[in-house]
Amino acid sequence: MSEQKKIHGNSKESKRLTFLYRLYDYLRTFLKWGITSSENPEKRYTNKYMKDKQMDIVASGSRKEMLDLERKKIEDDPGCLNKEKWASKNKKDNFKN
Amino acid sequence: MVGYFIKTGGEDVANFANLVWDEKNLKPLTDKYVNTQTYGVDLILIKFIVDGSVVTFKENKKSITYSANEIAVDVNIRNNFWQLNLIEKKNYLVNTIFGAIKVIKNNNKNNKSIDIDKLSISLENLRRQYIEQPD
Repeated sequence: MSEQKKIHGNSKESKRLTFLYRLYDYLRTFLKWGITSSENPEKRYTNKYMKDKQMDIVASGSRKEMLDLERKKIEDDPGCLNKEKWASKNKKDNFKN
Repeated sequence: MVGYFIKTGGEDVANFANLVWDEKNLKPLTDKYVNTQTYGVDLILIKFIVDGSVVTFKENKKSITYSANEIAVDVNIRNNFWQLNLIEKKNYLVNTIFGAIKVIKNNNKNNKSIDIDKLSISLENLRRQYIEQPD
C-alpha cells in the first residue's frame, strides 16, 4: 500500500482551487486583500459585518500561487485592514518617501 | 433593516455596484424609504452573487440562512442581466428583493416575527423612487 501524505487545506501545498479577493465597503473604501478556498468566503464573517460590503474575486489558482499573489498585492497596495507585517512595512516605506 | 452585500466573480462586473451603492440607487434609497422603520428582525441581508469572468458561482440551494436575529438571502445575478436596459435592470433588482422577501415568508422555519406587509409597502415606495428617478 502506498503512503499518501495528508495535506491540510490551509497548507501552501494544498491542491484545492483558491481565490484571491478584494473587500470594499459601500463607499468603495478598499479594506483588504484575502484568499480563500471556499466559494463562500463571506460566511467567515457575520451578516452584520458583511452588510454594505462588496467582495470581488479577482484571480484563481493553486493555493501557493494565490498566497504569492496576495503577498505581492499586499506589499504593493495594502488595504486598511491588511495587518500582515509586509503590509505595515510597505505603509511605513511609503510614509518615509 | 434591509442591507446589501455584493460578491462578484471578477472586477469586470464593477458596474453592478453602481446600481446598488451609488446616489439615487438601492442603498441610499433603502436607507431613506425602508430603513426608517423596523420589521421585526435586526437585519435582512440581500446577498447579490454576481457571475464574472473569474468565477461563475454555483446556484446555492440553501439560499436562505438564519443567525441570531438576522436573515440572509442569496440572489444570483446571471450573465443575461447585462443584456437588459437600465430600467429593466432596476426592475429586475427590485423584483429580486421582493422575491427574496417571498422566500423568507415561505421559509420562516425559525418563526421569526417579520412584518412582511409593512416591509412590502416600504419596498413599493423604494421601487417607485428607484425606477422613476432621473439619472
